[in-house]
Amino acid sequence: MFDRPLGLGLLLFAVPLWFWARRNAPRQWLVGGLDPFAFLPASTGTARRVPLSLLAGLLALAAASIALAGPRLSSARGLCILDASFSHLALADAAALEASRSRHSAVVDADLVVVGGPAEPAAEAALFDALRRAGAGRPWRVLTDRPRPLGCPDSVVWETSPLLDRTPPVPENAALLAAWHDAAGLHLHWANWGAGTTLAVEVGAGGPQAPLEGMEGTVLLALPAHSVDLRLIGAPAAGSAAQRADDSLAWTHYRVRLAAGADPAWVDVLGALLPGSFELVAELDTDVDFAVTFGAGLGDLLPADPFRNADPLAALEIAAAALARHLPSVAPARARKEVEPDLHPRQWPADLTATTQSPVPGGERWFAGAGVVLYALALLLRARGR
Amino acid sequence: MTVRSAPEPVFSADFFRALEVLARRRHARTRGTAAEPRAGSARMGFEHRAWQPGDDARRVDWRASARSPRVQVRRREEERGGELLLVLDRSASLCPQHARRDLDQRRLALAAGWLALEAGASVRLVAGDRAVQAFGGFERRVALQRALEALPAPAGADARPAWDALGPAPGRRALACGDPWGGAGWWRALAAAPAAGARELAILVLPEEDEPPATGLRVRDVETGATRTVALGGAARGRFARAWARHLEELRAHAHDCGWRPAELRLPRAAAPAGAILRVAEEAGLV
Repeated sequence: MFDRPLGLGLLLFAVPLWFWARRNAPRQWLVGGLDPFAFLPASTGTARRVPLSLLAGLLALAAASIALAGPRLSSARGLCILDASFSHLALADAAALEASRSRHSAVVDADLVVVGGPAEPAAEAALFDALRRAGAGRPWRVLTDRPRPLGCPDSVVWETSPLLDRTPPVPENAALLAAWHDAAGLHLHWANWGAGTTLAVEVGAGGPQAPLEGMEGTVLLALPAHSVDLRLIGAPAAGSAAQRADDSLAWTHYRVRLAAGADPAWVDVLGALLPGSFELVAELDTDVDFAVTFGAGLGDLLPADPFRNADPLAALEIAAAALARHLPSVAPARARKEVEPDLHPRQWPADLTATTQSPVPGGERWFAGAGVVLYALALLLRARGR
Repeated sequence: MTVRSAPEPVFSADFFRALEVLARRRHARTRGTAAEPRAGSARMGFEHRAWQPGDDARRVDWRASARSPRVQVRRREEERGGELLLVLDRSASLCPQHARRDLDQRRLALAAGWLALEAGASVRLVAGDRAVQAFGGFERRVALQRALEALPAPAGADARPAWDALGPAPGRRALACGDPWGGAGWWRALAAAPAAGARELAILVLPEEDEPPATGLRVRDVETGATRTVALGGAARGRFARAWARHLEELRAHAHDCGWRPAELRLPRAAAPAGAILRVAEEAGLV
């Protein structure tokens, strides 16, 4: 409950304070008669009670003692910070993220704070910011793939998730940075930070492999437009102790059915908003990923075509929102920062260390302030003879 | 385990040593000026004492001397008349906080009675409202001591002494021992005391009654239970001293009105030896 329990020793001063304050308190004095005392002014009948000034003084002492001891008043409930960036959760979509969130909440008795997202890298700075915002004084558990910062207090559980081992913990990493499709085929932008690592990209499980030479480049795979799983396979040089680096990317080719009478602008909108490639299929084809339909039905994308009855920019916004509700949020490109090996772990910020030593930010100041106010109250009451 | 100190005995060896010294001093003062007890109707006493210059060699008890490192003489006694009436106030106000005044009252009574018996007088003891006890003869000193030791602790309010049956007695001397808190009943009783050639009232005053603590006090009358909270610090201390002096002055006036000669005895502190009361009483001329 306290960071510095010895500070509670200040409470021992309550004993001398009690006797000092009660030094003039009336004593019980048995006599044979009251006649000689009848000429003396009578004190108040409540003099035997504990005066209010003494109570206030004792409370002030207690507040000062608690402030000195460093109270730990925050909830004992832990705090789990989940790095939900692409590099950590890999191909996780919204459902996987929710599953992870519920799993952590169930396993760890902690409040879950999600940092980053599939298209949003989460560097140490983001984790540190999350820790600052969540407040100290609670058991911390960080689930990430970032290396444990230097100087991180032992009380912080820093779990490097074993979900993927291709990002910063791997000094010689390789990654698929981006993919796009055009008439020539599927273009892959890749990078290799392992000097002695030979790379190849595998198209589909057990499919053909294309070697990748150099440190970074773009390879064109003459593939027709269809969904395919791409995997980057790396083999460390002989004798290297480095881990095997690999990566994977699910390339999605969408089959979209456009409602009859839809505005032609929808074609450009789909090309701009879909993370993979797409093709328009006939009205009667039922094997589609989704359909752009208008109406009040359950499967309709929008109640009406916005490009026909709204401003073009407003219509674009409406269309983007509608597509976002129906499409996975996996980005076809990832930030280099997410996958680039980080051989120099970040230093744990000094102010975060300070907050871990002071579990209740501002709590000591509150108690110290209360102590000062109570002390002033005690002086005031004493001046008024209470 | 709690270690309790034994209660202070009423009559300790220290007290009897002081009483012996007092008796010897008194004997030395009166030698040659007062008549010695005459033999004849005298009875042999049971008490021995060390031989002193001037003692008749015929009174040496050789058997007792053989058992003692010093020569012992056997006292002869003779009732030469006279009576000491001991009146003891046994109300609760005698010892409001501790038993020192109760002890010193009984010590003073034994000393006065002892000396009276030694001088050939008889002693009558009136303690509170208890029946009068009479002691006569040299050998009854121990009986008086036992009677004083057996007195119950002071309690209740002032009681009227049961001395109505006492008739006039020649050579009677009355010695009353009380506290400064006597009420109207006490003074009425003293006013109705049997006739006596001399009436002396010893007012035993405790040190803390002269100088109570200079702080806030919740004073409580042990007899009536009435309380009053006063502050005795600062200027109130002087006011109390004046009120206390006035109170004692009223006591003296009451005593004179009732036909008693008052003598205020400032009792020694609680830690003083048991025989200290004898020196105070001697200075006041009571023994």
